[in-house]
Amino acid sequence: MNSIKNISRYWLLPIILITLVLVIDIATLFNIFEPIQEIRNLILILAIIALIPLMQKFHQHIAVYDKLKLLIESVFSVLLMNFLFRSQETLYHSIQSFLSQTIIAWLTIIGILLAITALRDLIFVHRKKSTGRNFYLLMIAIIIFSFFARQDFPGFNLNFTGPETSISKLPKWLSTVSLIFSMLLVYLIVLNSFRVQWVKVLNKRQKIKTFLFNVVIIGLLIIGLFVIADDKGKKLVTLYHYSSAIGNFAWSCLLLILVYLSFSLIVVLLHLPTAAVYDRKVKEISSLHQLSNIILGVFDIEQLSQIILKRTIEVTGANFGWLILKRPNSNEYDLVGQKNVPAKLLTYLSTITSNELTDWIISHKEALTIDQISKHKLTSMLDYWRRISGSLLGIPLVSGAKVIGLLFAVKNVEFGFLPDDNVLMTAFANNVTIAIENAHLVQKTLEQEKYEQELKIAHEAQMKLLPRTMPQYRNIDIAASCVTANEVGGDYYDFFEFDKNQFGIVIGDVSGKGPEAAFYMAEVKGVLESLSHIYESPRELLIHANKILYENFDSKTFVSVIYGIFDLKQQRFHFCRGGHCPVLYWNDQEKQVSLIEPPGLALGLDPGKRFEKTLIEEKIELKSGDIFLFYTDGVNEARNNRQEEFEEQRLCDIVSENHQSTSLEIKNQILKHIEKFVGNQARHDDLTMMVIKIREIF
Amino acid sequence: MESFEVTKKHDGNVVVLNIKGYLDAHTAPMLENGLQSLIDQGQFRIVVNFKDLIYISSAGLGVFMGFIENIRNNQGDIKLTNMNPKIFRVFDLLGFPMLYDIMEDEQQAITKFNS
Repeated sequence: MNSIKNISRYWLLPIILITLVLVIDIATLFNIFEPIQEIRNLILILAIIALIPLMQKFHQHIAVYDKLKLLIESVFSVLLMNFLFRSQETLYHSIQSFLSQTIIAWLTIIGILLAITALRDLIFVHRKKSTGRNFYLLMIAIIIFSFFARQDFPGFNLNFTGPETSISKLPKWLSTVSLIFSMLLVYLIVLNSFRVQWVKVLNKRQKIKTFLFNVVIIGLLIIGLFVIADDKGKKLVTLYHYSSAIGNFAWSCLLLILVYLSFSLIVVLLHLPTAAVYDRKVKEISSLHQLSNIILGVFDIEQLSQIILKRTIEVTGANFGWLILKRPNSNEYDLVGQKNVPAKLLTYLSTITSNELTDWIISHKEALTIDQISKHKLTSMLDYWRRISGSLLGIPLVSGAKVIGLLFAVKNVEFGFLPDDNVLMTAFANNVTIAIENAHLVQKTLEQEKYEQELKIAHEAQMKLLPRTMPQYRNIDIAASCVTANEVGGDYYDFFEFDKNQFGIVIGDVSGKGPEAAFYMAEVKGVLESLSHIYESPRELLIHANKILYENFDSKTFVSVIYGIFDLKQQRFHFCRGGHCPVLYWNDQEKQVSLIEPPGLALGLDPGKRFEKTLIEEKIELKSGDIFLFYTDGVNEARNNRQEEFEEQRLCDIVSENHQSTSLEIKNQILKHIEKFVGNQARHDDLTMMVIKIREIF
Repeated sequence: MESFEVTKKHDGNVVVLNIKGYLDAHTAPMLENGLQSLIDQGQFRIVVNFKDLIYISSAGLGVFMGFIENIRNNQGDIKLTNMNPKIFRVFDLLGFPMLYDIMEDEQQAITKFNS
């Protein structure tokens, strides 16, 4: 509904104006009255202005080449019409001449308006801020010109409508003004004629066609505007018979089109020799763009490199190519893909990826074209290169400040690459870089997922290895816990209940982290558990455990342990420390805390002799109120945000202050203090503690 | 992420590795790579200077265990120097002073290699 309303609004004004002219004309034809020509011309000009917005409704979304075609077709019809019907009579001579002239005049106007609209769209291709302004200024100038340039107003006349009035009758200043105005008009026409950006968009075929059409139309326009005239020297004679304003408008618009098409003819002519190359580039760019979309969806580096190389060779017309990529977190480059590379060069490339050539590109971070491989200083030092004649293109894959890889293409002819290939491939390389980084990222994410899965398994394994219940002894108060870090830290503790008076304890820390640590932890648990039933002495047990673990661990893995036996009958605790943190002992009789650290190596470090020589068993007499704290290094090494460690002294203080509390309370106090100390810092190791308090029953 | 750095310098036929920052399960592979490349080059006289090391975890200690046998079989050694007391404490608890030459000063270790 709205659009119908809009269109009818657009139509309304021109129809009223044209009807008005018709009424005046018919009245004149039947001698009812004599019209004033200026007023009639004014109404006609207004009618043209009113028609302009209507013309804009047409052909807004068609291709540039179609616009050009429309322009040429409109101009051609206008010229043909005016060539064929060239009325020799005046407008009001007869009804017949009146009708034919009126129809031809308005058909011409419509044709010219269509042509001008098409012309405007062509001028506006790739428009700048000034483009619109210049064009509309020109249109205003043409309309002013159309109205004023008449026989009796010769200053604007430009000497084409026929010299009928003597110039001498007019004031001199007027002719100066006219001259300036005429120059301005010509200037504006030329200015607008420089806007021929659309020529670039045409393909070769279209450029040739445009060239031919332009030649024909320019010829016709020259004939129409300057050659064919009536006996008084008037061109476009029918239009001038109808109205001088209409004649002037048509004439100046066609002049504009003539100048414009002449300019575009020259530009098309200049573009013709390179049209084929340009077409090729456009095709390449679009195919590379397509490729870019494809490669962004490929995450396998090998597959990706094959696609990249295949396309590089296709587009540049190279004979072979290869791709080297930087290893993540390293400065070394690996050959990840090649296509058609000769065997001899391939052997060289796969062993030595770093040489003067690659170093140059990496340090300069820019594409390198070598026109003569055998002579260039970067390639000629290699025997292989010296013997072949060819050209090479090396493109860095640049991400931020880093060169993540290099893409090479080689042609078996010298000077084989166009200067553009360099630019084109650099643009392509940007997409390749993104694709490769994407692939790396996806791989990393997958690894991360796998890693997290492993972490979960390791964590579950660790939890299963820890005892679920505390041993129950009448005189003993036991509390233990292992607060795990994000990653499994390899901490471990266990109890062995031998009889109602004897039980063993073990606390250990396997070196390393993650699933591997959990695996070794299970091994330690198994070994210690089975040995605990064979050897009564902790020292004996650890000596044998060390032998077994040394054999079974890999060379860089070891485990620190404390193994001890609480003998309630003999009222003593005897233990060995195999490289573990000391035992924190609260002597309740002396109200004193001490760290007991008998010598001993961690298990798995030494095959046996030195271990045995070093290890010393320690004995402590148990008394009521004594407290033993066993812990792993995650406790004393817990760090706060200033990178300070919690340290043993704090542990000693907490135990002394809380020596009357239960084991559980002491353990929780320590955890609370650590939590407060660490704050929001991420914990990087397990926190494992075992508190054993002797009750007062001895 | 806590950082770790290894730098290498030659002093006669001894190589000194300066290690800096945090040596834990995540950064240990960097030191492993450094030691491995020395062994690949047939360089078995190695001094590791701990002057700028802030933290070492058990995995970091394991790195040295991983190479020592091979190095000693080739008449070489890894000597550890310039440890701050906290780092030394970690080595000491596990009994490493029994297994390694741990020395006050880098020059002292080089001299010992050359004697």
